[in-house]
Amino acid sequence: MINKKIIFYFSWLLISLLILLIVIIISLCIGSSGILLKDIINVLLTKRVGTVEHSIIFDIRVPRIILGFAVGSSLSISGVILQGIFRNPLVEPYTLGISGGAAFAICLNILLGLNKENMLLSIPISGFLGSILVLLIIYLLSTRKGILKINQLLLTGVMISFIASSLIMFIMSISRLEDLHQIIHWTMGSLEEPNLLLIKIIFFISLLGYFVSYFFSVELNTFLLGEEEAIHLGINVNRVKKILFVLASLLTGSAVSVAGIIGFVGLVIPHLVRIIVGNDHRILIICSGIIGAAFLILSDTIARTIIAPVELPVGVITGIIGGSTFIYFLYKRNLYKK
Amino acid sequence: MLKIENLTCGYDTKFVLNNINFELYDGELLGIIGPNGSGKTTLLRAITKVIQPIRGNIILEKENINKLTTKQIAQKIAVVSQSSDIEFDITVEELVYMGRIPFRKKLQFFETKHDEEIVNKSLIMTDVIKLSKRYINELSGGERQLVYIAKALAQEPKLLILDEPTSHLDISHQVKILDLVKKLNNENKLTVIVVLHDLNLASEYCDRLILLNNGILHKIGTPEEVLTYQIIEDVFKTTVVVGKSPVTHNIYVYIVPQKYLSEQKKLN
Repeated sequence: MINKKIIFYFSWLLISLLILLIVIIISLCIGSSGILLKDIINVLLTKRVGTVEHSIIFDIRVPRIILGFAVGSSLSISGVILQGIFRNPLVEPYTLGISGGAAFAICLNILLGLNKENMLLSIPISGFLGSILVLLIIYLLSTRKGILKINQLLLTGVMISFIASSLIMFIMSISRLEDLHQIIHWTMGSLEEPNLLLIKIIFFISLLGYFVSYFFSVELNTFLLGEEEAIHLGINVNRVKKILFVLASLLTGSAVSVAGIIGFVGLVIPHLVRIIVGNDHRILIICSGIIGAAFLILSDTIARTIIAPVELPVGVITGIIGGSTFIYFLYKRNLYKK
Repeated sequence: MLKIENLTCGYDTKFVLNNINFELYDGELLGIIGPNGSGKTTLLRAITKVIQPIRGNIILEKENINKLTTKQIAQKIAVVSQSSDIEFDITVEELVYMGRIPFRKKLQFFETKHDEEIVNKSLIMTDVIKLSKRYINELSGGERQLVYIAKALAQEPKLLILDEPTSHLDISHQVKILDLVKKLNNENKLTVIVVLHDLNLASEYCDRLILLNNGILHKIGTPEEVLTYQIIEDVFKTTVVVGKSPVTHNIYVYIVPQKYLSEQKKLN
């Protein structure tokens, strides 16, 4: 039984990695100028610097793929964690107002023209500060006598989310046309990020997300039975809740700050993976992270090629593909259950 | 096994339990009874350190539970709570394996061969091994309760606590579950605390009973000592007739409907 379980987990891990690899290859090949697979292998093996292919692959496509991996993984893992600690399958990274905080701070930044001075870093930094500020507000308002109250956390988060969207609408209504365009472009989400350092940072944060959340995978399993049951199984529920909430917020905040609001990944991918591999977080976390990454890289590839040279916002693609794939799987599962 | 000394506890500023004192002996099956809101579940939550006492001590095997971690407590006490719905699909087997979590080492993510043996034993003992691949949410109330008992047994506890394990169940499942609990108590020498609403089940299965009323320990003793018609009338504000079961000769409480009492009063 145990051996079977481990084989099951490793098979799904391998399948997920294989899917990711295929998507990465597709993403490397397809673009406004197509590159053949053999040319890619040639470039990778010979490392001929200075050729057009080399420049397209290493300067444009690889950074986008790494960013897609980081953002997709972060949002998916954050979704799995939050659905686990809230025992609510409808919670997603954007429910708690963390992204709202980031979006508001960025809109404010654009409105006040602060981003003109240091274009590259100012927007993500303000976004990250906004999300941290919201995290602190929600955390303090939901903690009583040192205990994090989960229901209060959810309600406070949803309310802050509403307040943030209203404030964003207010800012949009008083913005100049060019600022408005920039705000709308940002809120739709994009993996276009010229700053390599930023890509490296968010990649590192997403790896941290994999490790730390996996460390608490067994604890998350017990949360599915309820907080009191988790205590009965010897879990220090309050400590675990706090660590996981902060981790999920950091993952969401960093992803949103760099890539904008990319919907559906944090809600749909954990669900989809749940349907396939089950609810055991020991496999769910890793598979969700990897499939989330593959999904976002694929969506981005479609977004930048479908009506090339014009690039669609990646959020549009994640919504359409994510939603329809999810309905398909839900329908298939119901058929199977009957 | 367990000693409760001057225990006062509650939620925020409201006291739910006041100055409770009793001792639970090794191998005993102790029943807790009392009206709704009398503090039965709160007492269980204090014993398992879900809530902190305001005053008093809880001593588990000569150690104050304040000095024990939740993990150390979970290695000694297993709880079958009033089960609630689970939003996610979990199989019976996955749930029972969770009973081994208190014993896992740091950075141990997978169960050992030893865990597998204990889980199988628990599934067999509770007669739910045939359900092991089914989802919890697909099971009937009685089956689900047996599965939760299997999970508790996988914890290899010294003390098993059950909170109203028979509520909402038909009589066949009530008997099946309490027979199992009694068997575990007799054959495996498992010490048990069980909260029960049904006074007749409490009398039939428990060695001693604790009667709680408004957060105060009203009476502790054998079913004969606790279940007298005066005590029941005082605490539950209900008139009953107390007799004996014709089969087991244990105390049996007969209810008397209000309509019958009114007619009797008119006749008198």
